[in-house]
Amino acid sequence: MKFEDTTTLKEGSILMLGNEAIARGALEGGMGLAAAYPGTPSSEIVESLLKVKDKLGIYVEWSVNEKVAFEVSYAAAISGVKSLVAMKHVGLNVAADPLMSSAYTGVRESFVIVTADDPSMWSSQNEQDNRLYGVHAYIPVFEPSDPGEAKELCKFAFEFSSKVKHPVILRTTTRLSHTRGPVTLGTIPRLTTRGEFTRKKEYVLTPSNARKDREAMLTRWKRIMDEVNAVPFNRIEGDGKNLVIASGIAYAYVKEIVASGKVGDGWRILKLSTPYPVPRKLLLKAMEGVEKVLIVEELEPVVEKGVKAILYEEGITVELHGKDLIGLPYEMSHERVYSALKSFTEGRRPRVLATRNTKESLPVPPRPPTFCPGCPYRPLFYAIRRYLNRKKLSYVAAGDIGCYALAHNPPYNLQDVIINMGGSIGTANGFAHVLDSVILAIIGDSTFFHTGIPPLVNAVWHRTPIVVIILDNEITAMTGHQPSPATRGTGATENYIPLESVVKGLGVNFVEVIDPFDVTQVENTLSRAIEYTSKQREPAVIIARRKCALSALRSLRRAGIKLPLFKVDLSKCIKCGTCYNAFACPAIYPDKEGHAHIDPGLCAGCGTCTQVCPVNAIVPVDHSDTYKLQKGLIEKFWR
Amino acid sequence: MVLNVVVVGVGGQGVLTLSKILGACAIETGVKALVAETHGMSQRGGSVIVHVRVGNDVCAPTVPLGEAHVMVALEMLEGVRYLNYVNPEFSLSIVNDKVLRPSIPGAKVPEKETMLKTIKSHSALTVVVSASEEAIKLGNPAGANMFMLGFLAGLLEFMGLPMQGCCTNRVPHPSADLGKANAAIFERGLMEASALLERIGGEVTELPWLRKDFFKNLGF
Ligand SMILES: Cc1ncc(C[n+]2csc(CCOP(=O)(O)OP(=O)(O)O)c2C)c(N)n1
Ligand code: SF4
Ligand code: SF4
Repeated sequence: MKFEDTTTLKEGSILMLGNEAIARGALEGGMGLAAAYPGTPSSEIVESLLKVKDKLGIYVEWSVNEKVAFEVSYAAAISGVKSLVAMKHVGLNVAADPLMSSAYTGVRESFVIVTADDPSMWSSQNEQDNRLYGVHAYIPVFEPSDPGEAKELCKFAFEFSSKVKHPVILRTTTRLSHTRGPVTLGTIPRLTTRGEFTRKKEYVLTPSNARKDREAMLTRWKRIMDEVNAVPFNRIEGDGKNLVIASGIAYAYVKEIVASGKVGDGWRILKLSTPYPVPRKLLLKAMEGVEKVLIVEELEPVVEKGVKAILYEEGITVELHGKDLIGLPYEMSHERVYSALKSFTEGRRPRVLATRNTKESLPVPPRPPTFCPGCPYRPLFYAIRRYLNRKKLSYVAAGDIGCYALAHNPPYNLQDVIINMGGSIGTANGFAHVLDSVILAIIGDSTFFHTGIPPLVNAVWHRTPIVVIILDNEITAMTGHQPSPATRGTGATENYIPLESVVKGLGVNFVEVIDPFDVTQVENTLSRAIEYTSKQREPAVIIARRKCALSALRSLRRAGIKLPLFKVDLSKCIKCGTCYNAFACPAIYPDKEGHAHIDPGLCAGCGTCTQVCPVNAIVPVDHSDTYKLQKGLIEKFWR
Repeated sequence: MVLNVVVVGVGGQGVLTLSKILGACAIETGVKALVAETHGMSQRGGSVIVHVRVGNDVCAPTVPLGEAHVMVALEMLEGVRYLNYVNPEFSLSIVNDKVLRPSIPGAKVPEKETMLKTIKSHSALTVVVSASEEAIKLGNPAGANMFMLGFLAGLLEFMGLPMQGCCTNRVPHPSADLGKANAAIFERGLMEASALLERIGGEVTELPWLRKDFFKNLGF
């Protein structure tokens, strides 16, 4: 069932994605405003809310970055409108500044900060544990154990925040956000979307006010430490003498392993949905008659440290294990929990971790993600690579985060540093001051608007000679095609902001807009930009504009336009491999002899491969007149 | 009782769609199900595995290594890649007769026969199906996932989960033609499952879980 069809349902159990469950919980919790910047694994939360915003009359937006999203949502909460902000874990680094302050001022109505962490780094640069932001900022952290509980817990988080007048962090993880499970629906109340702002010193963090806020916050914190004891999602199960404390999704694994009977009996489980702060009274109750304690949680020892501190303060000495047995990095698994529980009771690691298929398997080549057939980035990076190889230039390509990060892989091997969003132009500034090489910065449209503007201002200001290539596919592709300010929409609720106007406005004098499908144009423009920066000693910007193939193909399909197909003229093909090895379109594959073939099921009809074949063996399947006609139609949707 | 299924393939083959329908229909019959997906990077033509777990005792979203009852491989190379999830004693591997070369320079793909031999040696029973070929014949070149959905719906129906109707209703209809094609491909998958059940004569010792009452003792 589609999320937009579920708002009228008041009961029953349906299959929902973890992130949809969170969105539903927010609606049941009375949310009136939501803001977010996309990022895997968080994006579906606000994507779902966007689908129902008109129907429910609430305000929902994609903001330009996480800090702005946080501030948008915070302002609603201090005006009395229940609000939510969502982001991936690293997004909270960008929003850390207002995060800290929000705990000082507190809020008037519910403010739920959803952070989607990524243990095992399925689609991220790190696996930071954002429960630590709760510790750092004095904000309570809630953590669900399955999609059904995620819905209930999100709703509860709204109630909790409203009650204690303090922000609350709801922490989910990739596994939970991207698991579908049964969710029991409740009613969506009338949603309040208009607020009222009352002037108060608390909101003005000048040093003297901030000191008062700090003390008020510590008073609220005392109450929060007490309230978490009554959170109904924390509970004690069983009455054995071996206590396992399991937080969030770790509970699901512990419960299954204990129930399997493979680790014997005598277990007691303290299930926690509030890893921070640890509920003291509940912990002490769970400790009664316990001989040994094992703490099972993903990533950092947040619960472990909390438990250790409480036990020490209470003068309780007990054998306690945690990270020593369960391990620190990566997501939880049956195997890890089994091994930890076995070692816990038997004093040594089990020899066989679980039923394993131990027969020798066959080595298979990896299948990393690649640019889609028809992706504008392929001819662009092919051309840059070819230019740099031919000129034998010494260069450093500072890279950024987006689909284009895939160009770091062979055959393009372009982007030597990728650390965080906006980091391309930032690090390029630094390289230019200490290296004598040509410095390139490669950045996407969404990322440029997110955090690329200040470092470009810096380069203009300090006359830093760097060549910035903005990859304008007019969308935030990597995270699932959310709009960016460079998306040409209808203009009704969102404006289109052409990148060249921004860049010129910042004072860049060399600004050229090119078509990445045109390999020769790419090489020529790059050559001129490099010459310009070295002579003028100031930045040059190239904007490579061509829509993301996936979004162009979607609108072409909708318009019923047939794509031209391409084929390889086998009598001409010289088996050089340029198209399938150096250009590497997934639709082109070699046969046993090395001749190229094009898979008609995969070819997107972009025709860019015709430019790279040295003997012009790649040709349209259709007659040249039909092809010209098709090409003309397609350009209307793809440019 | 929990039935563990892993569905593997290449981003774009419809692994997620298949698994989502399976999970939704299982829940509609009243049994618990969890479907753990791979999103993000793996969708740009990368390797994909989805864990589908059906049964009221299920808590954790992923299938433990070596505990899958069923592996559905929409692509053979991916079938080999995820063999460590398959149980050596009691698993059924359903493999699409299709190999997609990873588009990395100089990628060496093992021979089809070698891959199949490996899959067979890791599974109690291996069934090779021409899901892609049938899908092309029936009008949707990207419809191999519907074949596999039909196959799984057939097996689960046999095991006591009345979900065939629900799956039929949920077969995607992006357009009238594709909807018709998908429905036909789904039917082919169902037929293939019945053929298998007939061939092995219903309950067999290699697949002790493939029995009519697997889901019956759940109380419905
Ligand atoms: C701080 C932060 N927020 C969000 C993300 C998730 N993320 C990865 S790439 C990306 C945007 C990519 O958009 P764009 O720059 O336009 O490149 P495209 O994917 O379209 O090529 C986002 C939001 C992140 N990695 N870091
Ligand atoms: S989603 Fe768009 S931008 Fe990303 S690889 Fe595919 S075509 Fe290129
Ligand atoms: S036209 Fe050539 S480059 Fe474009 S998708 Fe088809 S095979 Fe790939």
